[in-house]
Amino acid sequence: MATLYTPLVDGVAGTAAIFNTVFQELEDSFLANPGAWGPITTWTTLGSDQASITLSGISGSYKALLLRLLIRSTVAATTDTLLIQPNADTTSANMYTRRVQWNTSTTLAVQTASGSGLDLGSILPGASALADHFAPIDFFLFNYASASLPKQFMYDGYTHVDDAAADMTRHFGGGVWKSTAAVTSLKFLPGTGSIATGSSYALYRLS
Amino acid sequence: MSQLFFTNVQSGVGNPKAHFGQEVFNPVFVGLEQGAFYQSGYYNISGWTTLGADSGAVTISGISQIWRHLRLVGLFRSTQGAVVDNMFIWLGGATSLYYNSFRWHNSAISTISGAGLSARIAANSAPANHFSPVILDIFNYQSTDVHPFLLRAYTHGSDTDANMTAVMSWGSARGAAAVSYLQLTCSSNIKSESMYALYGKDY
Repeated sequence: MATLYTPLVDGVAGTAAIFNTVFQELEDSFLANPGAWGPITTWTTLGSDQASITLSGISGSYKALLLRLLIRSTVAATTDTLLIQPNADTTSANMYTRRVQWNTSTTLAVQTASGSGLDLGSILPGASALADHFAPIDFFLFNYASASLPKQFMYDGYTHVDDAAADMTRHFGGGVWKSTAAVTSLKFLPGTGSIATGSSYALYRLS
Repeated sequence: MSQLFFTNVQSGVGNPKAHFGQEVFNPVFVGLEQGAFYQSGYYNISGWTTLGADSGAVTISGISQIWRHLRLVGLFRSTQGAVVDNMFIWLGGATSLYYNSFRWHNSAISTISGAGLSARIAANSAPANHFSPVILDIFNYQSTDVHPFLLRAYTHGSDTDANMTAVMSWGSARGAAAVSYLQLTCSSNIKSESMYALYGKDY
């Protein structure tokens, strides 16, 4: 087994060996049971606007991925769309999304079967939305490591454009990325603008 | 909590750990071990299971009562001769539980009562190899009264609008027992290569 902690050095005869035995048992148990859900990347906050972000080098060792975003667009409008491209793929025939959106003025269920990415719809607040209001989004991707199966996803999110009930929108949905290639990177970008400064993100694993 | 993996320090002649008071050190070690699990928040109770053959029912039994909440995650498909099928999830396998939920199914909303939790999943006539993701959160599963839940699912029955379905439902299951096992059924069999895992959450 690994020894990642710093072993105690004996001060009094026998004491170090006794404690180190227990520490080693604890460390072995942590490594054998690292927790089923955990971070792949650190939680990162943008210091400047970015056209897109790509998380690459994703290990195929897990069962599913969770991309968690707190994100906003620079588009000169109240909202912008969000596209997610596994392996930076832009093949329209691979992209299927069912989006459901609801606020007090609109209930919308839309299928998107094309586009340059998996289209989560108008989920991003734009530059005309209230300042500092970012959209929280959870995006689950299943079967991502398979080299033979299509990849299913589900997502949840919320958009707060302003304080009027008609401009507070709940989102959820799912879909399929039809490619059978294993996913080793995830790229996300707004449909029109850039990802605004202060947006943040992290990638998690399900084991 | 919880599940312990290290060997407790014990008193006793001949035990090298006995030089130190177990009542002093064991709480520290327990805290360290719990801290490691808290970093992820979820513990995989069942491991990931992939069905090797079509199955009339999937049962996850012997669920320890040491967690605060449960989360079931899976990819499912039915062998029913249709585009989609309903999969029912019974908490404790008890049809006597009273299920009461609000379901948001694409743009349609409805209330459902009396049946198990239902998630629409892809069936035999759906595109090959398309399994339906399901995430079910069960809160207060140790309670002998009310088990609130939140279920999310997506079904790709075909590439056309009518058969791409996103579902979110929430509600409660009421009964007189804690949840110690889950049972999943559908109109026909749950298809081989469906897979699932059950997680425990400690806070």
